[in-house]
Amino acid sequence: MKNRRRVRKTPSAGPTIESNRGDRGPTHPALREVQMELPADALADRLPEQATPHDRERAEVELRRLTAIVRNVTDAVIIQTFDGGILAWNRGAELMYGYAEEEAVGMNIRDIIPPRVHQKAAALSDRIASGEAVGSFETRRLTKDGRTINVWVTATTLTDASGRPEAIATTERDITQLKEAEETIRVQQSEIAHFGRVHAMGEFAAALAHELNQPLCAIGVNARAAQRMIDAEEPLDELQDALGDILQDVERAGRVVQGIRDQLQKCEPEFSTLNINAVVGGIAPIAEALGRNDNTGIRFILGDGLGPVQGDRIQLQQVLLNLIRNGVEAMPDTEPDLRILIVETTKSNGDEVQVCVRDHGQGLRDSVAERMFEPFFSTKQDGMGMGLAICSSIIQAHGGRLWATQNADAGCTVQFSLPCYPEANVP
Amino acid sequence: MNAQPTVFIVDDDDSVRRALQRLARSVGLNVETFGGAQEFINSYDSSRPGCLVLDVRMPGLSGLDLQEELKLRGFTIPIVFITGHGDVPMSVRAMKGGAVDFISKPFNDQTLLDAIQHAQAKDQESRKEQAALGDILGRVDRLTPREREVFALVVCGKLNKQIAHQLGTSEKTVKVHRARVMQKMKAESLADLVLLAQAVGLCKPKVQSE
Repeated sequence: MKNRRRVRKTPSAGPTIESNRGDRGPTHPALREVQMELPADALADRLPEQATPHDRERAEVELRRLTAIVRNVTDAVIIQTFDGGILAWNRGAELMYGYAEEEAVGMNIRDIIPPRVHQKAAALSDRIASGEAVGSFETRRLTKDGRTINVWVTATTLTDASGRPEAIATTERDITQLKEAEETIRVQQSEIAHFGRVHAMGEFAAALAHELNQPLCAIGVNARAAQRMIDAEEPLDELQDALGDILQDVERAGRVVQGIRDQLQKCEPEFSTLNINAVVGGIAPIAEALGRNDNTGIRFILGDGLGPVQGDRIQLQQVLLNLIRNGVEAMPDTEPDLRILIVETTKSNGDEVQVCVRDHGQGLRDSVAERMFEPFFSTKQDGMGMGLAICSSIIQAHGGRLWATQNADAGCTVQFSLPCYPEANVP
Repeated sequence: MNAQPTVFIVDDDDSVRRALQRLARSVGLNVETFGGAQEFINSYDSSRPGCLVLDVRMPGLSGLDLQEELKLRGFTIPIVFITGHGDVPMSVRAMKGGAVDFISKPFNDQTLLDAIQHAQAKDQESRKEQAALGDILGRVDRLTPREREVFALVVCGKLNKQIAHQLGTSEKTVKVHRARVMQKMKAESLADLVLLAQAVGLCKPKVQSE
């Protein structure tokens, strides 16, 4: 508590932030709330020599107001030494952490910091001591009754009259409920996204069954051909080729199954560093199945040198599949040889990647373009109208943008952009 | 027939196509493969005997589109359809369009080989018929206009006298024309001649005219 004493005893210790300026006269009982036991002449120090009694009164009124704010604000206001010794503790802090002012003053700030955060807090305190402006941050605190709460902290350095850092003042707001609400929304969004995937997979079932049937058929035919080759004592390399093809088809079927399982699994969104081309490549088997089901070719044009993006692979693939399905379904009246859907990845604005899904269908009517991303809006007979709405919320959660444009020739392009993060700077 | 028949396989799926090719080759069939309907149309020479093994659903021109296109061009190559979907309307459409068979994946290899054999036989038969018809038409071609008139009347069962009257000539002249017709058409009897006439559509079978 050496520091505390120092603050008390230094005559010129009037902290420079206004909320703590004041003296300890009987006219300012509020000051005790923040335990700023400043010398009685602190205010006089601040006033010019020629200050009139009127000036002094005005200064006192201002001081009273400020101390009242500090006293009554619901945020915790704490002043601590660089070692963490608590010097001041307002009513907001009492309510938030459960310690009365008398208990708290004399405790160390570590007492209300969960052990796991100690090191980080000490490092931060050092940065503040060195005069660095750390601004606001989110962290956790321990209450007297043992709860861990989330707080939003704004830290300020208090300096003495000579401008030397002297103590730390923090205002701390309990954001636990806000965090819980955010978490609830996040879980709900993840559940809606999962529901969307399961629903889509149900709709894709016929196409997917066909897509699995292809390799199975080829495997069966190859195996039979191999048997016949053995019977006919044909050269072994022919047989080798047949077996090679069989293995390839086993892998192919496996990829389709993996793609389906990815989409069906219910998991927390997991953000990781992703190569967008790999994300697109992962849904190729399912995309091609959807295309084949409607006699539509899918062409992938994957750009070079695209930066890494941050995101949940499965959700991004969900968005892609949704856009691809819409594109394929937009072309029933298109000439067979024009029935091609282009999926292209490009660099845009230098620090973004863009994924475009370009169809050659009827294009967008204005009335559709305006509302297509709204929930429950659908142009399909049995459409639920959730597909693009879910896509939109997923892309937004990724810090990106989803929009549609009319093509110059025919059809439309639905695209999304995602910010790139250089590998080293991934948050 | 002259050339060895070929199984033309059209499937956009590389691995299915290779498997089908391998199976057909394993039983000694001549095989050519195509990755798409358009590719096949571009290179198909209708004088080559064989049959077509065709996937129904393909990007671009589908199997059913190809069937229609071949029909429009007057090609009669027998088609064995393979499908992974096997929905009824599609198979009905294919069969109405003259498909020999409609096989659903996955299938027994023997089922496909039997279907191919059946299609090849059908092709051979229709080519034989075509050739025979061509031969008869060639004979008709060598008849003079007057001989053709006599031919048409003879096979309708008219007597020489009636023909002479109708054509405004003598019975004797009709007899000479008639002998030449029999000779040029390589007919040994009136019955023979009537059958030939029916083959080229010169007269309808009697039953129908009652």
